[in-house]
Amino acid sequence: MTIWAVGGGKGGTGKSFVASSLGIALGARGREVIIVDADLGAPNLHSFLGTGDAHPNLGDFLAGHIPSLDDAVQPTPCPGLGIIRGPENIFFAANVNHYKKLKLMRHVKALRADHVILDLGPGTAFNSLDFFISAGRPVLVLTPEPTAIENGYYFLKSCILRVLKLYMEHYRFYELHRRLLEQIEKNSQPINAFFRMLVDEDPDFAHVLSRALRTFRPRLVMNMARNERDEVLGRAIADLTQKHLAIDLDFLGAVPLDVRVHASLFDRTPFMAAYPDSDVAAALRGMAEALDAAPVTPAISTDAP
Amino acid sequence: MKPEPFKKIEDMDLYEILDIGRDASAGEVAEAYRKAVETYRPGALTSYGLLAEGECHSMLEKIELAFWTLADDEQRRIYDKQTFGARTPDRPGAAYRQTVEKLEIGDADRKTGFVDRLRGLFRRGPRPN
Repeated sequence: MTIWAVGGGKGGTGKSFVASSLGIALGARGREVIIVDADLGAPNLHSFLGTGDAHPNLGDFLAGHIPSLDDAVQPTPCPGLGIIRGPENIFFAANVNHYKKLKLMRHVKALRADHVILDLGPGTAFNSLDFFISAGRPVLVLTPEPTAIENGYYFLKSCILRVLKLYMEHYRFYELHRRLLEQIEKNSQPINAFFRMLVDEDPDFAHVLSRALRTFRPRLVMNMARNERDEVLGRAIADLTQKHLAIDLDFLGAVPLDVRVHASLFDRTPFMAAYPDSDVAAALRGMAEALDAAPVTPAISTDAP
Repeated sequence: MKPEPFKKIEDMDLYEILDIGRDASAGEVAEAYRKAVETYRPGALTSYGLLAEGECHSMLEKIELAFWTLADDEQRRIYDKQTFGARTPDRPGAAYRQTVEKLEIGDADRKTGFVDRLRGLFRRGPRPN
C-alpha cells in the first residue's frame, strides 16, 4: 500500500481538489483508494466528493468512539474510492498530541487499500509535516502567485528542518541540533546558513544528511496555471529547490485554470466525473498515472528502524 | 546539471552557476544567462521566499561573471584550464557514516526518557498498537 500526502504551506491552492482528483483518477484505473481528510483544523474534503455526513469520521476515531480507522471509511460515488471525512464534530482536533498522531499513522498504514491519500491542511504544524515527510508520495501544490510560492518554500524548508532534526537526534548530534535551533531563531535563512556551517565543520556528517534529504523526494504540482509561462515557473521552482535546498523536487505538472472547478464545488459534484474530457481532468489523470508507476522512497518510515 | 548536495554558492563553478554543462555552446550560455537573471532578479517570482535579498544579489554578481567569462572564447579557455586543469575528484566521506537508516518519527520525541531511548536501540519490528 502506498501513502500519498498532498500538502503545501498556503490555504486555497487547491490541495483538496488535487487530492480528490488524484483519488478519482486512481480509482478509475482500477485501484482501491481511500482518501483521508487530514486537515484536522478545517476539514472540507467531503465537499469535493459530495458525500453525506451520517457516518463515523476521523474525529470519532481520534476521540476513541470507534476502535479502528477502518470503521470511518465511507463509500463515495466514484468507483474504487472511499473517504474518511475530517473531524468536523471535534473542535481543536488540529492539536492532536504526539501519541495520537503515531496511532493515527499506524492505522493509516493498516487501511485496506492500494493507495491512501492524505489531504493535509495548510501551515507547518508538526502533524502536517510528519505526514508529509513520511509519505511515499509527498505532493506539494502551489499556485503561480507570490504568497503561495513563498509559503511553499517555507513549507519545504520546514520539512527539511524536521528531517534534519530527526536524523541529528537519531545519531545523537545534540550539539548540532542545538545550534540548528539557534539558527532558526536568529537567521531568516536557516537552511542555507546551516548547510554552510555543516559543510565546513563536519563534511562527513553533511554527506549523511545530504543522503537523508535525497530520500525525501516531493513532487510539485502547479495548480491554476494560466499559461505556459506558469508551467515554466513550476519547472524553475523545482530546479531552484534542487540547487539551494539540497532536495530533489520533481515537477509533476501543471493543472490549467478552469472556472468550472469552482462551479463543480458549488454543485457538490466531483469535477473529474462532471468534466472527464477537460484539460484539467487529463492533466490530473496523467499525474496519477505517472505516480502510480513511480518507485516509493519514504524519507522517514513509521516502522521501527 | 545538478550541483553537488550542500555545495555553497561561493564554491560553485561558473557552469554550475548557470546550470549548464561544460560543453555548452555560446547560444546555450546566453540562454542560460537570460534565465538565471530572470530567476534571481529583485522581485522574481521563482525565487520569492527562497533566498534572502543579499543572496540573490550575490548570485546575480556570480551570474554576470559567469556570462562574461563563458561567452568569451579566450576567457573561457583560460578559466577552464585554471579551474579544471588539475582538478582531482572530491574526497568521499568516511565509510562508517555512509549508511542512512530510515527513522521513526517517534524516535525523535524530545520528551522520551533515557530508558526509553535505550530500549529503542534494541527494539526491532513494528511497534505494538
